[in-house]
Amino acid sequence: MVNFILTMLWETAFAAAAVSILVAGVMHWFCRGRLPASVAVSCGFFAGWASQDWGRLQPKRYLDWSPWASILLATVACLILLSDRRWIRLLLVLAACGVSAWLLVPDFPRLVPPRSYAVALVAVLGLISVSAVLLADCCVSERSFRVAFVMIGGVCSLIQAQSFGLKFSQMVGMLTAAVAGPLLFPSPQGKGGVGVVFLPLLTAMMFMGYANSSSDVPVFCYFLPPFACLPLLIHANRNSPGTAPGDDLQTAGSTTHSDPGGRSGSFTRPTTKATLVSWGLVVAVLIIAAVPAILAHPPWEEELG
Amino acid sequence: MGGPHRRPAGSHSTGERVSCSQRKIGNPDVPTSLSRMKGQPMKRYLMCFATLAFAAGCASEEPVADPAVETEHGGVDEAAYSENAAAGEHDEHGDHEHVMFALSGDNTEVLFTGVKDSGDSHSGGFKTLTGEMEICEDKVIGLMVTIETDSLWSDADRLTGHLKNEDFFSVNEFPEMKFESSSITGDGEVTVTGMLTMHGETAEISFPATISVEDDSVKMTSEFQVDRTKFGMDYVGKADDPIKPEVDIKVTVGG
Repeated sequence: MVNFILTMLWETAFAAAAVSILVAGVMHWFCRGRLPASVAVSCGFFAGWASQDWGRLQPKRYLDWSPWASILLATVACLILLSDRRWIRLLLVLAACGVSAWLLVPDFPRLVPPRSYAVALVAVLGLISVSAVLLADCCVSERSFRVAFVMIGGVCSLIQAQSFGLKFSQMVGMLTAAVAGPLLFPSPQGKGGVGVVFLPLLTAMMFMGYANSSSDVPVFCYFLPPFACLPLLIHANRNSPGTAPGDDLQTAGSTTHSDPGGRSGSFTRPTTKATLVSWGLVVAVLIIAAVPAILAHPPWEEELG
Repeated sequence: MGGPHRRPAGSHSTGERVSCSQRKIGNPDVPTSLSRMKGQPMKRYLMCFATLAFAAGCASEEPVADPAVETEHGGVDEAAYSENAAAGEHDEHGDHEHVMFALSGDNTEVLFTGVKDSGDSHSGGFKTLTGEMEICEDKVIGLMVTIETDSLWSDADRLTGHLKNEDFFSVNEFPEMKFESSSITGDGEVTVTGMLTMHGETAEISFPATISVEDDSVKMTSEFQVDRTKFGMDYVGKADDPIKPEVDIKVTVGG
């Protein structure tokens, strides 16, 4: 059974992600110090999309907008880095989530909920998950975020495969690989807004999978994984005074940082207990999402039947 | 499977299809220079009377569907059918009625088989469809079919779910697929040509068929291939064992 799952994931998601991880990693290495990591992630996903036979660059249907939405989100991530006002950053994130939802939510005749509500839902879910990451950004290292995103993306790819949406599984796999690529080349630059690209795109892709699914996978499995980042908020309470959430988006990986507004501060490393609790909750959320999806259509059923 | 129901021409379930022999009703030739008849009331009166008489004569030749033809169970009132047949349209084939045969999942079977490069194959079909075959002089001259894509089935449950998803039919986005013939040539062994709309794409296809028309039934069998990539179904599957773009189709009516 394990071999079957690994073979299915490898041939659908991970094989398609090879281009994404390589391009993202190389871009991150060449552009470190000049461009944020979100640009490398976007380029990696774009390259992975273009490498597929079904990857149209001229958008014709809703899912064809995915690579262009990733570029839009990377652009917003760069603008967030340039902005020193918290409300402007929030507005940029809201606009990015709204536009990407509008581009990517399908327009089916029998869509449930109707498209206008679905766009709002996907935009709000994306905003919540990105906000959680921005709030926890001060106290969680870049590597920890990337690991969390890779775990979330892996579970989402599995859920899409269990829903019989192998194309969506490949798309999520490519996006996850693009996030993992820079892990190969750690950058002293900082976090670079990877969550701003990853989470809204992932939320929209999971909605696509839900809208197309005729499987027995429970609905909550599609929408739970992006919120696996919320337990990382436990670390946000450990901010020292004077440091606003989100201001650390452009900080270096050291313990001190400064933002363009001139405010400075330091973050307190979380205790071991808080780290274990938050990561334990992240894993628990992913297990709660993954297990029902696997049990809905056990992959060993047809092998034994 | 029972034979399709026979209905006289003009009583179409779709309500929009025009009989192939319907005569055009010309518009009365209204004089454009009535002003020239000013001062000539008699001529004007006669012209108007002639116009009205001409229009009345054309209107009386338009076929009127007899609401009593279809029975409560969708069958045909034979007596009313005979009357309509006797008063049927004049067409290029002479005094021959046109009959529409209803197609449904009960009398029509649409099957498909997909094959991989390795030779592995999977079969399936569609359960729910509606349509009509137009018969004239014991020949099928028109074919229209609408298939509900959500009625898709296959020989494996996981495959059924995969086929319904975005990778293939995307049934939530495209709930129907349609075929409408533009020409059917031949006798017995025919070639059907028409437009197939599937997965949001429309393309012309041609396929051979064997058709026999009897008194109360129509039988048709056809086997052909469709290139699914022409209709936006470009998912190839595993790189080392891709799914072929050509899909084998088998259609059976009345069999």
